[in-house]
Amino acid sequence: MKRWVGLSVLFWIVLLGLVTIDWRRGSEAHSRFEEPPAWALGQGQGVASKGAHCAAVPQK
Amino acid sequence: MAAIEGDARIGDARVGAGLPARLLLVAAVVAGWIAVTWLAGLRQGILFIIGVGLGGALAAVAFGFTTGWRVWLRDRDPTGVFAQFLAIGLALSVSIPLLAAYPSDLIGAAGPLSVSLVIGAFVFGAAMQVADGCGSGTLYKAGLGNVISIAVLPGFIAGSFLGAAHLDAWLRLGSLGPVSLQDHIGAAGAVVLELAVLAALALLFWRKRRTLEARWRGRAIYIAAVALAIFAVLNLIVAGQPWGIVYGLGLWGAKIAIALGWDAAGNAFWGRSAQLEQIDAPLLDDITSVTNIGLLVGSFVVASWRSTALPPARPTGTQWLAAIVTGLVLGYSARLAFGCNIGAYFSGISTGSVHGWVWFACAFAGTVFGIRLRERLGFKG
Repeated sequence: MKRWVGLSVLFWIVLLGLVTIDWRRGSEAHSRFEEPPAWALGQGQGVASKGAHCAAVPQK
Repeated sequence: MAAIEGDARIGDARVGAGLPARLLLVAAVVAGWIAVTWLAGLRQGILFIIGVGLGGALAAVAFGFTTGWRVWLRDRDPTGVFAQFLAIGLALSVSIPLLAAYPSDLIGAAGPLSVSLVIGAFVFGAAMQVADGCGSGTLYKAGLGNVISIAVLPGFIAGSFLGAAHLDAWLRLGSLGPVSLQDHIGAAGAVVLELAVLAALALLFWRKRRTLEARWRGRAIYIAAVALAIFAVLNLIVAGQPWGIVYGLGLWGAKIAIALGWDAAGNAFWGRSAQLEQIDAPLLDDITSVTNIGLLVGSFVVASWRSTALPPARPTGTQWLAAIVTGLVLGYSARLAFGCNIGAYFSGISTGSVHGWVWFACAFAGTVFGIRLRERLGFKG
């Protein structure tokens, strides 16, 4: 029991640690005045056009 | 293997966690939502909650895309496949009209029809049976503490990164480009055609059935399917793109590779300016990553609530090794196939992309081989 509980705890520690490290190394502070709209529908801004999806293809 | 596989039937009554523990779990979700919203904005906070809902729905009934197919092939029980079709059918009935009505706001999961799609989906279908988890299955089981899925995840991340990095070479084998049904037969035609195909397949499965209770009992899995469809449509409305998993895992891999000194600039995928921006931005700003994290949290919370978290398991050395290697194969093949069971199968079909149907056919064929391999490796369930 202890072994798989320990692995699960380690998993969460590593995950949260990596998210924290990633956040801290960010070069720019988050600007609340430049946030994307709370939802994309009806905004007319094409907020999801960065190719950040599994269907994205390599293009230069 | 983990207890969740050992459960002969899902849906039996369980003794849940006590009130203090449940309050702690709710507090953890609220704290996570506040943290993500504070650090990355309201949209990302909403997507985190959508991810929690997706993970919760998956974990509550052990909703398995992988097990649904395996239970059908082994026991001729179509319950899991029916639940998948229900979720996809509901999602496409809303998503395709929305995509048609708001083309400047929303995009579908339109992956190209390519040789890499056929190879990748076949290999993914086989590998997901060995790992007993597809994209969503690996994430939600890792979240609830399944040690095999935790072992699969690092390889999945590395494979997703490498698969995307090599994607241009695979595409040179041949590609017809993306094909969206609504571009050819209109939104209404696409909805009718896809629902008709799902209904025809469901009828075929129904006629060939031998049992309906090999794994899931009662209505719970269908309620979870409806919940998955609702959260998937909400994901499209909020994010502007359909639910995906593997891109986010590859992005985590790219961030780690760059932190270790890899130069992404010359790579055909990660060297794109849009991808470099994604890599440079905080992970919490990425749509797919934040829903992935929410999914992990949601599955842990719901499984803990129902006292099904941390399933006992005693994998052998061979099984540990198989899990790690299979994770790598899963991630790599998912990128060749432009998505896993979520990004390609669920979101591809539900947004009218023909590549979702090709993925389904090829991955299902691969699953037949994967089940045999799984048995040879001694995995139960």
